[in-house]
Amino acid sequence: MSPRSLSLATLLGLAVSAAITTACAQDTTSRAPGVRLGLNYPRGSVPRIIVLPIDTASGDSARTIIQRDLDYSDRVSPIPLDAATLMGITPPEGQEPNYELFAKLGAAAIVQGKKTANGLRMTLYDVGAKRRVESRELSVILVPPVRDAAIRDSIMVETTMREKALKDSVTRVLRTRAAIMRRPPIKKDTRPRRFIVRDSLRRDSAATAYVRRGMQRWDDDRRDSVAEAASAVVTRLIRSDSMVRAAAATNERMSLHRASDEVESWITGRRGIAATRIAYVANGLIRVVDSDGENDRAVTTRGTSLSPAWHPNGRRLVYSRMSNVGTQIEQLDLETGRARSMSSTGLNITPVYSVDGRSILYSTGDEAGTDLVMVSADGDGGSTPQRLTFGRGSDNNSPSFSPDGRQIAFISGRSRFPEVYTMDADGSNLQLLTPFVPGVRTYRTAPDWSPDGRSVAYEQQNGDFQVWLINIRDKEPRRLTSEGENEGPSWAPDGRHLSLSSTRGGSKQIWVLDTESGRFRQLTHNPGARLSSWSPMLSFQ
Amino acid sequence: MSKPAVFVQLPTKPMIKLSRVVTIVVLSAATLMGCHKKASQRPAPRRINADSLLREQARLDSIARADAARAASAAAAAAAANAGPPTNAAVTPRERTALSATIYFDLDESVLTDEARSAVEAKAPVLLRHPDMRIRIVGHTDSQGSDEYNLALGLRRAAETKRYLAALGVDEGRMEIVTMGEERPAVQGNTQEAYALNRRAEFEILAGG
Repeated sequence: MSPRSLSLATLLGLAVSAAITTACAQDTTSRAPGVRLGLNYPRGSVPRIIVLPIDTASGDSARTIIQRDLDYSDRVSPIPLDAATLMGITPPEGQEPNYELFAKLGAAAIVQGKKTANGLRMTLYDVGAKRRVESRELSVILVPPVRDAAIRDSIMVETTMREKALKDSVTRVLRTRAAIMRRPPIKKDTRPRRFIVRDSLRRDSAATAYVRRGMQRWDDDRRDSVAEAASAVVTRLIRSDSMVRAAAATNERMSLHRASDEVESWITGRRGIAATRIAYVANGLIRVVDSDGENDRAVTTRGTSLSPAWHPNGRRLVYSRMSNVGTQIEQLDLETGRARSMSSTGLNITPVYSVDGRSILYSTGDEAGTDLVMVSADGDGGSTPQRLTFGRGSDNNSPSFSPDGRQIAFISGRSRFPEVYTMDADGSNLQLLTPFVPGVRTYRTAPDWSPDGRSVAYEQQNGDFQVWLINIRDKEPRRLTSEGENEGPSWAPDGRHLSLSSTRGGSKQIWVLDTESGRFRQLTHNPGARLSSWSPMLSFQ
Repeated sequence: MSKPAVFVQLPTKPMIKLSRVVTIVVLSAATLMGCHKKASQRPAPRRINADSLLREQARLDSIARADAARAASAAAAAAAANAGPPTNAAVTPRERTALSATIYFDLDESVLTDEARSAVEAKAPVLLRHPDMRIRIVGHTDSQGSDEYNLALGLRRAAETKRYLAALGVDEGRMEIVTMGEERPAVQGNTQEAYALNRRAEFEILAGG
C-alpha cells in the first residue's frame, strides 16, 4: 500500500467516523423528549409540512388520517399535493429526500411512514437543516386483509362433512337393494313358471326404482346441502370477519391518531390531541365521535339523556337521564355498555367526575332550587350526598373542576340572573367570576375550566348566545364567537381547542374552535347536536 | 259553577293589582337606592362581591315574599269561598278544563304573571272540592339559553306554581312537581311566539280525577 493510498484510506476513515458521529449526535438529540427538534420557524406562524405516501395495505387511508390529524392540530399545516406529485417526490427506498425540491414546495418538514411488522416506522425530516430529525417505530394495529382463504377452508370442511353424510346414506340404499335381491325365492313355488318370472321381474324393477329414487334424492340433497352449507358458512364467517375487521378498523384509527400525536410532538414539542373523542347529545341519545369526526355512534339506546362528562380514565361517562317523574344521574361503562343509576328521585343534573375520578359532583333540585352535591363514583348512590352549595332557592349547577381539583367553577342564579362563580372544592371561599352590573340583565352559563387552569370558557347571552373566555387572574372576558349561536364550550386536553354547539352552518352541530387561530371545523353531522364534552387523552382503543 | 266564581273573584282582582303596583314601586325604589349607595361606595361595578349581592337579593326577596303572602292569603280566602264543601262527585268537564289549563311565564322567570295567577286561582277551588285528587305540575322552558340551566328553571316554575296553590289552601302532599326543561316543547320553532308558548307549566291529574 502506497503512502498516498494510505492517506486516502485515513481520510475516508475520518470521513466515515465523522459521519457516524454526526448520525449519533442526531440520534441523541432526537431522543430528548419534549424538545422542539431542529425546525425553526417564526413564532406565531405555522410550519408547513408534507406527508408522504405510506406503503401499507391500507395505504393511503393511513396517510389521509395522519395528514388530517396534523391539519386539525392547527400547530402545523400540511401542504395538499396530488397523488402523482407525491409519487414523484417520494425518495426511493433507503434514500434521503431531495431537500431542495421540498424547500421549493414550501415545506419545512417531511413526514414519512413505512409499514413494519408491528406497525409503522414514522420518520421526520427537517428540510431547512437537510437532515433526518427523528425516526421511530410506532405500534399501529393495521386491519388484516379480507380472510378469503379462511372462508374457503371453512366451506371445504363443512361440505366434506355433508358429503360424507350423503355417501353414508347412499351406502345404506345400495345395501337395501342388495338385500332385496338376495331375498330367497318362495319355497316350493308350484305356480306356472310365467308367474314366477313375473314376480321376479317385479322385485327387480321395485329394487331398481327404489335405488333410482334414492339416487335422485341423494343428488337433490347434495345440491341443496352444498348450497346451504356454503351460504351458512359464508354468512357466519363474513359476520365474524366484518366484526373483527370493524374492531380492527377502530383500533387502526386510534393507533394512527396516536402516531399523529407522537409525530406532532417531534415537530412542535407538544403532543397532539388526535387520540381523543367527543361525547355529545343528539335526539336525546348520548353519542361518541372520534376527534376527526369519524366513528360516530350512539352509546345509549333509549330515553332522553343530557350533559355527558368523561371519567379521567376515558373509559366511563356520567350523564343525566330524564323520565316523566324525574331526572337521574347515570354512569355508563363504555367497554361493557353497562349503565348504573347514581340517584333515585327528583331532579339531578350536570354531573362531572372529580379530578381523581373517585367522586361525582352534580346538581340536585327540589322545591327550594338546585344545589351542588358530591357522591362517591363507586357507590350505588345510596350514600348520603355531601352538599357543597346553599343557594337558598336559587339554581346552582353546571360545575367544572379546576385542573388541580382544588376549585370548582359553577353557575348560580343567587344574584337573580345566572352568573359564573368559583369556590373551593369543599364549598368555601365563594367568589363571583363573571362581571356583574346591578340592574343589567345578564345570563352566563356552562362554564368549563381550561386544562392550564388560567381561564374559564362559558356562554353568555348578548341577544343571542356566544362563547366567551374569562381569565381567572384579571377577570378580563374575551369573546370567542360571533357567527350563529354558539353554546356549551368544552376544552380539549391541549387547552387550545374547544368543542361547542353552533348554528353557524344552519342546523345546530358540534364544531371545534381553535382559540388561537379562530379556525372552526364542523365535527358532527347530526342536526340538533349539543352538550359536547371532550375526552381526556385516550391510551387505548 | 264558573259564573259565580267570576263574580266573586272580581272584587279581589283590583286589590291584587294595587298591591302589585305598590310592590313594583317599592322594588324599584329599593333597587335605585341600592344602586346609588353602591355606586358611591364602590365606583367599579366589577368589584361588587358575592356577599353584597346576596344580601341585596335576600332583602328584595323578603319584600317579594311578604307581598306574595299577602296576596295569597286574600286569594286563599276567595278560593275557599269558591270551592264550596268537599265532594265525592265526579269532576265536571268544566272543572277539568280549569285544572288542566296551561299557565305561561315571562322570559327566564319563575314568578307567576297576573294572568298565570288568576289561572292558578281557578284551579284551587277544583282541588279543594275534590280532596282525593292528586296532580303533577310539569315545568317547561323555551329553547333559549343553556339546556341544563333550563331544567333547573323548569323546576322553579313548577315549584312556584305549587307554592301558590299551597298558599291557596291546597295540601302540598297532593302535588308532585317535575321539570322537562326545554326538552318537550309544546310548539316547534325559534320564533318569539313559539318561545312564549313553550315557557309554561302543565297540570296532569294523577288520581281522583
